[in-house]
Amino acid sequence: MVLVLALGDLHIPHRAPDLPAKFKSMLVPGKIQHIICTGNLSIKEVHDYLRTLCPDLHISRGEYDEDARYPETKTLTIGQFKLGLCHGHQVVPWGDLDSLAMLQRQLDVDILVTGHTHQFTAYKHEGGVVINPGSATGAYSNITYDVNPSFVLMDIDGLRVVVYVYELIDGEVKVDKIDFKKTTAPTHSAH
Amino acid sequence: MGSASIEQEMPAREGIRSRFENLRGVQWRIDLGILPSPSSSSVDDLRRVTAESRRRYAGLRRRLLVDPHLSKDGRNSPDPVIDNPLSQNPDSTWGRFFRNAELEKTLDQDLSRLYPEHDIQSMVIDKECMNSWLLFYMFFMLMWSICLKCASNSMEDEIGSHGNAVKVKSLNELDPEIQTTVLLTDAYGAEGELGIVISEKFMEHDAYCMFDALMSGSHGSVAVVDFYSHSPAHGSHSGLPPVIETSAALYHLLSVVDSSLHSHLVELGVEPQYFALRWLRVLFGREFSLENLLLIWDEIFAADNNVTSEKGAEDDADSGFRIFRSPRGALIPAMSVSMILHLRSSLLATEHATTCLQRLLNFPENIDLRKLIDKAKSLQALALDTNMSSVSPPFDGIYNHSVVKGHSHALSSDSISPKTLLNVEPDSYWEEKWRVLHKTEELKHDHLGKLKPSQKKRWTEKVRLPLSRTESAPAPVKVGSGKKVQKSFIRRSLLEDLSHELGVDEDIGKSDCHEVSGKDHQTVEVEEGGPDSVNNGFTCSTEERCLSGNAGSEENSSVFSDPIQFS
Repeated sequence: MVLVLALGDLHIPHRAPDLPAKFKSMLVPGKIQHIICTGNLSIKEVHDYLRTLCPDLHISRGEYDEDARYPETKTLTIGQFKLGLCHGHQVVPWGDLDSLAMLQRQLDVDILVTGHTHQFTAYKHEGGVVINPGSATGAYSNITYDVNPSFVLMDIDGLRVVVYVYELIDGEVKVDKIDFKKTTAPTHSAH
Repeated sequence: MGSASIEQEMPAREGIRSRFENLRGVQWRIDLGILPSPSSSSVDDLRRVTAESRRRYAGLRRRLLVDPHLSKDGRNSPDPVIDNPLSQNPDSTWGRFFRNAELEKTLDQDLSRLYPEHDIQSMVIDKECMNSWLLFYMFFMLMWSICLKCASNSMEDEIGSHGNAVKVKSLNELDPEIQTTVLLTDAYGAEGELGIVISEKFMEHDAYCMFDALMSGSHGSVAVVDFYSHSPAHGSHSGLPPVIETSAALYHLLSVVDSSLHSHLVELGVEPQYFALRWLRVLFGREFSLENLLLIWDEIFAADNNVTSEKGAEDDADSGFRIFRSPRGALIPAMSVSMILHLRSSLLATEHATTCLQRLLNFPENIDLRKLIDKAKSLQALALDTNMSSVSPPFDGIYNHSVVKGHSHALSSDSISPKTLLNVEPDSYWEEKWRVLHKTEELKHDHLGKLKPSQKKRWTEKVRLPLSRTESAPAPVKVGSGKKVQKSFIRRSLLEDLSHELGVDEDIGKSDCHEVSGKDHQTVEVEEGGPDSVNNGFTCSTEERCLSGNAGSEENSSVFSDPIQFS
């Protein structure tokens, strides 16, 4: 059993001062094994903060990140799942499922995590999952000011992944759960 | 277990015991009362009982081990707001899961430190955490399973070496030991897979069963779990935690066999629980190497844990150390004393409590274990003897003296410089003094009594005379408080008796008085014990005499005035 925290688009300090206090109190060290971050942190201090939660930190580069060394895309394997990471501003139209599915096939991953739209979405698509954790701080996006802070926690256990969606709506943390089972080995090349 | 009485074979118990001698796992389970005695049950019974105990453990494990994934497809799908990995609700499945995980980590750490030379990681059975308050419990259990692992390994070897023989001959032609081994390991017995009495697969279950039996004591007098509790055990007369009580028992035994070493330790202020706590809680697990420990545990478990005394349980509860009431209970302090005696010379050479404890807590590795155990066994017999004899008289002076002393010592770090058991000269000494003083006083009081016309006054006076005899220590500063209380208690009870008798018929006060004085003499005799000729070069000042005399009479009359009013 592995817990993977996925978040992104914090835009600290440009668009938001900090993570919401309720999120901060929930995120404690010792529980999470991996953090994947889609980018736009944007400063080193946020990077350091994430590291205190869990030293195993994977970040892809957003357009506002001051650290230019983050890669554009990143893939990693956790348990039976292959995870892909990309900020998403490169994929046009932004947040489009077909375009993202293309990237998913390119990276050959089971779970693709992208950001940039600041809206939580999760699609089960072609035997895989495409997840956008939204903005962890609720920072405004290029498209809209109406953004609820949200992040995603994935519980990967064997061939099964449970996605917990944490969303802050009117000062209350709402938790949602999405179950996903990997049936067979992915055969993306067939498409 | 008792219901099974298919007595196929009834050889002597000793003969049967030797059948399992090489199967430590089975032997321990029989000793600890998990499996029925093989003399009264067949192999099938053994299988059945084994299966039951394993099922119990499996059920417990299912109930207590939290798996957050199982609840998902369960009947009641929990509210994700409460039941999510980041939930701060301590009662949520995930909350419990993380608490257990933390506990597990601590246990792992402890284990790896416990026996660094052994490869613990491979032996640790994952997810063994139960409840947070059971930390010590699990700690011990894991240690246990390690030992069991060793036992089962040796057993496997044995089976392997006999493997060829099994193939060639038919089962009945084999010698009984191998036959039993084969029968117990046969997977296709009456209960199918669960019926295997010895199996590496169920090692964890069996380890737990043994652990449980040892901890709870299975209705015997020794329950190791008591050594961890801070509240006095049920049936304890002292009101002290069992560890302290057992430690006191240990010192008592030591004082009986080696008073000089005992007094040396007491002088240094080395209290028994300083080292006995560690020894007792893990049953010497940290003092000996694993191989030696197995042998010691063999002995401890082989000793009977049942309360042996035929007398009423109330009698036992009043006096006598609880731990001495069963052979197993007696063997544990006896083993400790044997270990202390092993270090005797080096302990006597120490000058500070620190160095003394250092030597006690770093027990030497290269020891003659057989000798140590033999010594412990002889001490065990002694402990059982002394306990029995000391139980019979209700107020045995020497015995109770030591009990009181041990406890007061345990409570206050160094209140009074304690005396050794044999060192009761002061009492007899004062006793002598008082007998001499008494004669003059008696004459005086008799004279007074004749003068007083009131009957009430007369019999108080009469009573006071023999009582002043009992009050053997005119300088109470010298004597421990426990002693004092005890004495006044005797006196009080005697007075009550007397007042009762007097209430019935006051006319024969004279003879009553005589009787009381006779009784007093008896108790005095018990307390004396020591040599009588110690009053060399003593001069009792008249002032002191007067003081004590006054105090004595005042006290007596005050004590005595109550029954008068009632009668």
